[in-house]
Amino acid sequence: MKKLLVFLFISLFISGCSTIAPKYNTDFNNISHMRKAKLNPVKVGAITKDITVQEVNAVQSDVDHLTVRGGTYVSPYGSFTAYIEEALKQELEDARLLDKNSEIEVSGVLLKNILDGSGTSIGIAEIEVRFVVRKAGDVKYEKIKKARHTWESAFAGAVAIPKAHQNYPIVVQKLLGSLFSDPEFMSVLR
Amino acid sequence: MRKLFFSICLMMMIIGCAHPLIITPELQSLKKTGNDYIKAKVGYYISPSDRENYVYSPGGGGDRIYYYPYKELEPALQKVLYNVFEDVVRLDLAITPEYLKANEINYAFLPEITTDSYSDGIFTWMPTSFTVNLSCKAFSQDGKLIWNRKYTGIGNATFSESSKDFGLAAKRAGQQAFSEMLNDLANAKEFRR
Repeated sequence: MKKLLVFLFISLFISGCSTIAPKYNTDFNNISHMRKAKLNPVKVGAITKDITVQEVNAVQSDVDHLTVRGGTYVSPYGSFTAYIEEALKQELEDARLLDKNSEIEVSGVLLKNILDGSGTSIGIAEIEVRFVVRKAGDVKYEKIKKARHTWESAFAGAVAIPKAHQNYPIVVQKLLGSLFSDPEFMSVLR
Repeated sequence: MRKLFFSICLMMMIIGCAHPLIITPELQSLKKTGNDYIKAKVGYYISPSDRENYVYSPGGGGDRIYYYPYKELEPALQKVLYNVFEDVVRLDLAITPEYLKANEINYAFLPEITTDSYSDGIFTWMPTSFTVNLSCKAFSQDGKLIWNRKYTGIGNATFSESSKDFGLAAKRAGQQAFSEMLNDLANAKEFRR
């Protein structure tokens, strides 16, 4: 009976289901100032992961593998590197700045990607990408951008899991917001 | 111990839980054809109390869901307006001719949103059906009502679909309502004078 009771509490806390992350949606707070800044169109190159960084990063072995309370959390675009790529494309397209024939290319390396819904009081998402802008092949900008997002979590998995599920795209929006608000990045696009 | 176990089971069955849900539709689905934009600056107004207001509606198994209708559907409104007009701003004050003139806003939009949900699941909380009622008014710079439309979006999702994407029925409902608004707005003569 004791075992059953413990099992009941554990099943309240965790869930082993696999869920798909919500597709990315543009943060329109970024768009207005991008449109007004009179920037040149850009194309989006690949977002990759750095295997050597993965090996020394003790926090996370694979940036493309996320879990929420035991359940896998997968990208709707096949991988989380593709998620960042798609997010960049959407933001730039909505800002009317996406052009696959442009000589300016934005690419990047996903260095850190964490989604932690295990907390009973707060959930945490952290992301880190090294963005590179090339103009006709020459590197004009290279910087690591970081974002962190927290939200109110809960003991019960039925509340904590959907909350973690819903909050991941926000950390990506914050990451791109920090890129688009960087004057150095903006000046390279002028 | 046995009594404790049964009372926990009973509590789990009786007490309905409220589950958070995000109802923002996939914005990529709100696309219009063509690259012509109306050369106008438009604004939209959502009051702070509406933006922060969350509502409860029925989920499955006696549970409820809660979400922020205005805050979570605001990106869809932004996407629709950005698809049609050259410049879009969020208005911080209620729409008045003086405010619109001072900020050089040609047209101002005022949305009104209500929602409802339903689930045929006995043991699952995710909604299998969701309704978004969207009504939207537009005013010219001098404060005249020039456009007024109502849309109803109904979204359905099976259990297997909503177990992977909890808010799928809601997203589909929002997508339908705002797609219809986008089509209407793109062809509206009222803004092409």
